[in-house]
Amino acid sequence: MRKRVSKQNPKRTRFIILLFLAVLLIGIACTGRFLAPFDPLEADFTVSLQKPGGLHICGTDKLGRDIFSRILCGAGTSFSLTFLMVTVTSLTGTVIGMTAGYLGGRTDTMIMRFTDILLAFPSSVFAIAVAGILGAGIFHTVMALSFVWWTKYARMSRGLVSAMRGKDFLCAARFSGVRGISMIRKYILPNIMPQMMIMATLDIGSMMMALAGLSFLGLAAQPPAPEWGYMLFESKQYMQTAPWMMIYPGLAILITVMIFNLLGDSVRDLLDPRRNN
Amino acid sequence: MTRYILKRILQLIVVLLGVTFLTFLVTMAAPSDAAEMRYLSKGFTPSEELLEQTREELGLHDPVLVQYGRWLGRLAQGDLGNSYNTDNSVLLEITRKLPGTLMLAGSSLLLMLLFEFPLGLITAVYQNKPVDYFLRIISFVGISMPNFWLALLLMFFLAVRIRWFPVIGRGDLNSMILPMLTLAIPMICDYIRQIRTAILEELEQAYVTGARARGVAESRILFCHVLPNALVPIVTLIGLSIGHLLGGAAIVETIFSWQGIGNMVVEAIRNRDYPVIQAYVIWMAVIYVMVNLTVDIACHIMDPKLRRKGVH
Repeated sequence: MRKRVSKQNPKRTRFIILLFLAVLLIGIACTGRFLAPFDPLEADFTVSLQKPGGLHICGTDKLGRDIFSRILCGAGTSFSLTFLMVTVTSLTGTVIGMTAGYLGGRTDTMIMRFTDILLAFPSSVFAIAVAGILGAGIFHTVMALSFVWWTKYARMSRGLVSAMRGKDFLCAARFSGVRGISMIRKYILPNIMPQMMIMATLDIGSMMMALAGLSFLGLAAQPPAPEWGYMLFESKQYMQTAPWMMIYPGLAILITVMIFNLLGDSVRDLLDPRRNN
Repeated sequence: MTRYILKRILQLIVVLLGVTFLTFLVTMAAPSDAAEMRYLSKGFTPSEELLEQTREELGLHDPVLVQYGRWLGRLAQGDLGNSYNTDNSVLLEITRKLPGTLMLAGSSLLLMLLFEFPLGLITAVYQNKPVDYFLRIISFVGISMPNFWLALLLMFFLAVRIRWFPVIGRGDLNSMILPMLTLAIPMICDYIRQIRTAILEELEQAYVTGARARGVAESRILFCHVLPNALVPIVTLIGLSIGHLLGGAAIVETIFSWQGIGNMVVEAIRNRDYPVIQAYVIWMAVIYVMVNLTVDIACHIMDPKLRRKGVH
């Protein structure tokens, strides 16, 4: 009886479908290079600015490069950067926040003041500035963006941990001699894990958009490598003659971000204890 | 209350000092120093002696902290240095670009406030009805769409196809509409969701059931009890949005060639105009910190629970 109920749980079904879609997208991103019907970098001026249809299902750009192939290959760049950054920043942020919340006192104040300073740089302003000063390029932008991005994870985990302080089960663990790292690993981390995972999944979409935005400004991906944000930047000057150059890369971003946002929502529905009653 | 505000202002000063120091450090890490940039931006490569001489004049050989102190002293007097590119004082450049950004930010904020509350209320009140589904789908697409793509789409359909608005900004009202829409639409979509959640959460509270049981009119419950309570988290978010808008949304301003702070900084990045970039970062940080402070104080006034507990 119970099994049947869990099988029919619509939240779960939704999660599985979305997870499948997300995995499918990741699969496409990983194999994009082999799936692409044309070489994304090879210019062919005989087919410059062709309308979608025939061999080139999404049309071609000024240099006659196939847009569809460029989108497929660009996915790899966007996805790997996004996942790398979400993983790194969420882990760093969680560790720092947990430390602050667990130790409390002066360490806590110092860490949180530092986070406040970084939080004063909104979204990607700092990344823009750093990339501007150190020079454009993926490495600088990624460094700059990660440098400010971890703070929200730190704030969140710190809040969760300090709310847990003084709870009975923690006192019990302490009386039985659990200390330091193993306390964090065995008792604190499992308790904040769901929240942090929800946050990270919901963050994938925003991270992808932030990176695409920086590429759009010419601060991240460098030509001629295909990247969605940069493709949109290139499309602007051909808006009148070749609107497909702008439609398809944008759609690719929209669909990807939508699927990951939906996935994030459904992870929250599944894991958030407040919503599970 | 006064003690709380004083404490917050003290924190604010610490944060601002940190921000300026960080900004200063980043510039120190730049591949070419101030002396070199000064000549390079004018288009000639200086000799080694000339460079040394300029470095000496600018005091670039002093310890970092001394340089920072000097820089901070000038900053306190409103001297942000001169732009490498135009040789104008950076303060002048900023004050010249500020009206554009303020106008754009103000109008998009107004547009956002006009739409978000009614629409958010509608989705919450008609929960799981067709209207709710429709608005939720729209707002979901809206938040998943990168703003630069939205900008390009609006430009393509409203300026290239049907020519209602100019493609390139001329600084007049007509060319402000597209950037304004680009900024406002994603925010409206985001807030519809936030307001819906906040109101629904509030509607589940016991006091609502109590009021209904006493026969208080539904509209009165909604507008006099639920809405004010649901507003507290929303005000915090709106504060963040204001900060974001005043940064002059670099991407949107660039796309529409709107003369504002955001456009200025993108230009400065292309020309490696460090003083302008520095000034921009500091301006953003100051705004953010100020907005946050105002929001926190507003929340304190609005929410008696917070006031009593002294939470910040």
